[in-house]
Amino acid sequence: MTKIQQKLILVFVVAEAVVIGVSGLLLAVELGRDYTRQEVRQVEELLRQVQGAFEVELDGLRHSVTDWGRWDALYGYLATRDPAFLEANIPDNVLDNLELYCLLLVDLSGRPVVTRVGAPEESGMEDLLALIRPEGAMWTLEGTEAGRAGLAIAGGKPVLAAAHAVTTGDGTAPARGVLLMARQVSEPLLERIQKSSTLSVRLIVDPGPELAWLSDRPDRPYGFHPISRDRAEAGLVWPDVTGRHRAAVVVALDRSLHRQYLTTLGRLWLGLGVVSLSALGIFLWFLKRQLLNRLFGLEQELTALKPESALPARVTVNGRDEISTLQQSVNDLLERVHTSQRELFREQQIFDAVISSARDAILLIDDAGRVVLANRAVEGLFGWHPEELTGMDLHAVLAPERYHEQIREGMERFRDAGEGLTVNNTVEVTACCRDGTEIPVEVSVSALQLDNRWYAVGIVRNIATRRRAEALIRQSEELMRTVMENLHQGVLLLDRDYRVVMANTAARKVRIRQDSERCYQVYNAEALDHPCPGCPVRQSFEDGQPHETRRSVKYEDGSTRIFRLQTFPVRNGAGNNVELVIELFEDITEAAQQEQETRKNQRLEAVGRLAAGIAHEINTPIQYVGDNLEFLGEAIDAFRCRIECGKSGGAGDDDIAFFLEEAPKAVAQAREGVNRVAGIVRAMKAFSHPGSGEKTLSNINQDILNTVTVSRNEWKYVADLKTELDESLPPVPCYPAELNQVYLNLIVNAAHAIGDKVDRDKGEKGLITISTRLDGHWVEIRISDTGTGIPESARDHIFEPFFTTKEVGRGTGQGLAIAQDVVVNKHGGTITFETREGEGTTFIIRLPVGEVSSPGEDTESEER
Amino acid sequence: MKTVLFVDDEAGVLDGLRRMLFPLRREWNQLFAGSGAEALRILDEQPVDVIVSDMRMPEMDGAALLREVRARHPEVIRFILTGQTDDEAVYRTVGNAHQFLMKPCPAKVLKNAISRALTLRERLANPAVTKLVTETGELPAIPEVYRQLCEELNSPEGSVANIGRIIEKDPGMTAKILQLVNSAFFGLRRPVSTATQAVAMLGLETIRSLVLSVGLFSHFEQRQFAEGFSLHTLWTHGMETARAARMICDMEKISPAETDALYTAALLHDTGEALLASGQPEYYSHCADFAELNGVSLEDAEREVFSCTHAELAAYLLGIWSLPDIIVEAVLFHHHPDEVTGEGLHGPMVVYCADLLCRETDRVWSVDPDMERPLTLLHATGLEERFAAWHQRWEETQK
Repeated sequence: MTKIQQKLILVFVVAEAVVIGVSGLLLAVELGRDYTRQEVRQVEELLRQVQGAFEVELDGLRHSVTDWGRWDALYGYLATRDPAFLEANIPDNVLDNLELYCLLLVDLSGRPVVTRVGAPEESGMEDLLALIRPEGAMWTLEGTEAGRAGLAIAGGKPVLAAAHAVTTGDGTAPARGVLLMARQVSEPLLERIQKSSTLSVRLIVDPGPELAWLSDRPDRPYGFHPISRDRAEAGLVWPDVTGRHRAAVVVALDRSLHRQYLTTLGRLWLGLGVVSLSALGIFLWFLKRQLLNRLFGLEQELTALKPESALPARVTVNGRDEISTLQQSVNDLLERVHTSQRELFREQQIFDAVISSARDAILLIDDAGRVVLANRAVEGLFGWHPEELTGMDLHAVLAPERYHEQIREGMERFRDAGEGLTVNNTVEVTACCRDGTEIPVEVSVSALQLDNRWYAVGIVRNIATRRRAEALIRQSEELMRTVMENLHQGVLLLDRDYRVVMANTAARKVRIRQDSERCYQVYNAEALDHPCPGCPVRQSFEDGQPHETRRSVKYEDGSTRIFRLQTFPVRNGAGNNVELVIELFEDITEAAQQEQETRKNQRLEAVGRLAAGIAHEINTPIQYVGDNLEFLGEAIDAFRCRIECGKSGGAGDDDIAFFLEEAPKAVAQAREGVNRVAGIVRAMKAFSHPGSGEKTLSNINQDILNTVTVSRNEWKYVADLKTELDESLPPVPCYPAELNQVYLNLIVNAAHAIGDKVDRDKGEKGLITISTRLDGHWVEIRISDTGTGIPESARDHIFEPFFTTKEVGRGTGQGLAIAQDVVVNKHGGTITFETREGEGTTFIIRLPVGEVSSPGEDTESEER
Repeated sequence: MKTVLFVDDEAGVLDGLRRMLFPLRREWNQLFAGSGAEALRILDEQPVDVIVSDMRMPEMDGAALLREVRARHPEVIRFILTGQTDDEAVYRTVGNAHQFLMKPCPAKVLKNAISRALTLRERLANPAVTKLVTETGELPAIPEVYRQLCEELNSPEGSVANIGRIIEKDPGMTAKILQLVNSAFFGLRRPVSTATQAVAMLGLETIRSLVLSVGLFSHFEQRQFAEGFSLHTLWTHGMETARAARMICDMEKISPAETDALYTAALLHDTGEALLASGQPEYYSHCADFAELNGVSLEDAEREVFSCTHAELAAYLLGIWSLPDIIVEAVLFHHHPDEVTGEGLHGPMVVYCADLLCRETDRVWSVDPDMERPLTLLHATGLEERFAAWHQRWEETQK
């Protein structure tokens, strides 16, 4: 049994005892009062019955005396005193008949006239006479109408006495004497009384002190004396006729009520006990089941909790009362505990992870220099396992011996004040590894105080790599410098004022003047006071983009070199401001000449390819011109034969008819073929005319038609070609040969684009449309195709040299680059395109009509 | 009467041809089609011996047409007559056209080319065998040699000379490359008769693209040959014979041009066997059995089985491939040099003798069991002594 159970039971037993005691007592008192009242009523009733019985006896006696007293005969006797009478009417045995003790007739003088007294005692005579003597008696005869009766003590014995005046029958005559009758309270009398009351009744004269209880209660006329549980006595003092209290009536009675009371009380007490005990039992059972078991369960669950479990621990919640609230609260608490525990655990883990994953060694030492904590990185750094190191003197192990004295002094200071040279500082020192090698390390130390002792946390990093890296950087800078110095390209670094911040050897070599640091002054033969026109450096400073240009520089000796300049902006780290510009320049004088050659070659190549097409164009008519001539030859032979030999030789009539019919057709066809060839040759000649090197006024429409003719073989199998030429075009100043090249390139491209799209096996054909029109001061030439269009990804690049989407052998990627160069740079026009993938492309060339003068050599060299 | 079909999209060309060929109207049935589709329709309707097609035509061009004709009517001899001057056209038809003729094509050249092909064709009575020849796009190459060629072509140090030497080792490749260079496309005045010259003509780049991209040579062992037939043995024999032919020419001081031609002829003299063995493997095996059973020469057996000999077959192929006449003739008569009109040591005789020399030393699958005939033949031509000298030299070189 648990203590709480013991305590509870003790408390409840005491409480039970008190309740049972008090309620039992109250019950007894209350019940006792009730029963006592009943007993009193019983006693009073008994006493009244006894009294009644005596009264009945007295009444009988009184009647007798009254009868006697009013007897005329007697009355007469007193006057006569006739003895006979006595003899006849009052015999000696009258007493026996009347059950009297005595009969006494007294005359008025108080002298007894007749005396009759029963045996055995006569001593009481005097007492009785005393009663009726006028001087001493309470009874006077005068005025006594009826007799008197009451208790009297005669000879020490209780008797019932009654007296009546002796008179006539009507009572009117004067009394001649008094008659007294007494009856002894004898056993038979008492028996008679007892019979009526079923009680034992005693009449006691002059009660002793043992009967003091008779009058111990002034509030009531009787007394009650319980003798035992079964028996009790009750009685009352009975005054005699003279009013003297000389007799008492005592009644013995059976205490059935009392016994009943006791029995009832006992039963009640028993019931009370049983009920209380049951209540206690039920209470305890309820307590155990509803309260203790759940509490114990809770306690057991709490005892069995595993704090490290991943899920928050829970106890069972049952019922809906304060206990379940308690359980719920415990759960809440557990959850909070779990959450905080987990957080703690997580923090611990993070801490551990941080510590162990740190690539720098982390060491915690106490004020004696002993290692308290070391992370994994220690092993990589020093070769010591963290656990081996724990507890060792850090400096003895890791510091080279030559520093030990210095460290010892430092540690003393640290122990006292938590200060030191290295504390809260980052220093580079030499550390000693396990294998004896010494490495340069960077140590950051911070001090902390725990429990009045100083500790130091040190973060140690191997800086050997960094030292090496620094050396490498120096080396690579050296390398870069060497590379730069040896570059044949000039490299300049310019600031916003165009000052040369840095220049490599090649750049310095090109320098013409020495009197300044500004690029536009030192790289020009004649000093300028502003940046050169179209300066790419300025553009790069302005838009932050790389730029490229060409520039020709005239030297003092009269020679001119062409340079290609490339500029690259250098941004500062924080913002987008271009702080510096790198300028690369390269002498491309030879390369530029080469480029011109290349362009010429491309033209030749195109002409060569055209030649193949033209050859085919020419070969076909020549084939049938030749065949027809062959036929005509045969025909002439046949005719001649017919003319010379008549009908007999050579060809028959059928043949002649055939010849006659076919010959004119053959001639016509041969002529047509020859004209076709001639047209092609003419166009070819016009197309490939090299021009005079200066701009000439040219008929754009005719040029286009020539180009269409010579390129016929390039497009005729994939497309039809339609021209919509504006006849009102004025002659345009241009380089016709170069423009022809442009038209050709665009037509060939259009044919290729269509060829990629149409299915030739199905006989599909696309359409190339060439139109010209005058638009103000511009001639606009549109060359449209219904081909594949230019893919999105290629649109930005199509004018770049060597950019091509065609397979090898079909195009060199030069065509559009040259077209742009010719139209834009040589003619000051524009070339643009509109394209839609899968639908076709239109190239639009716009040439200025008015300007005849050449843009000049400068433009060509400065702008690309 | 033979039927010739001309296809051209240019009506003028067809008219011209019709008029030009008017005198031959009784020899050839001449048909004209304005497009590839029309040509195919005509071919489906009636047998045609030769088709002459333009190259560039709208819709179906010449290459596509001839590819279709080769598949549907393999027996037709296929010519291209084109004004095209770029290489691509030739490459595209290289397997399908037997000859390329260039516009403008003189009437005589056209007539000759057609006549020559028809003449050669006439010699072959068996249509199945005829088909075999015209169907053939290329001759099988020896895989080993083909591999060497590819290596050489892919190597940065590859040279025209090396490539020529490699191609020369393989009769199949030699025949094909000679077909290519001798087509009128290259407009050569003199026919080319050796692979080395052909390679030099074409140039390294062209050869590279022809072999690696166009797939000029057949190099897969995809062909089913007759049982017991070894292409390798046959081709090795060809090379041996070629060497022997060169030796004879050198000893007899024959002109270098003829020497080259005969060298190639000797190399190619047995290509007909390869055609038969791959095209008619069952009959070819049957042929060998027949020769053995009846104790006749293989040639006779071939004539019995195929109605033609492998020599005639090879000559037909090389003829329609427009290889030089001297080669075609030497191949055609290499078993019967006596049938050639001419005195002394002519081409077929050289190849015949070279073949003989090699047969004496080699163990060739098709050994001529009858050595009587050669001896009488040599005797008749008075070459017995020379042959002995050649034989001696050959024996020496073999050692």
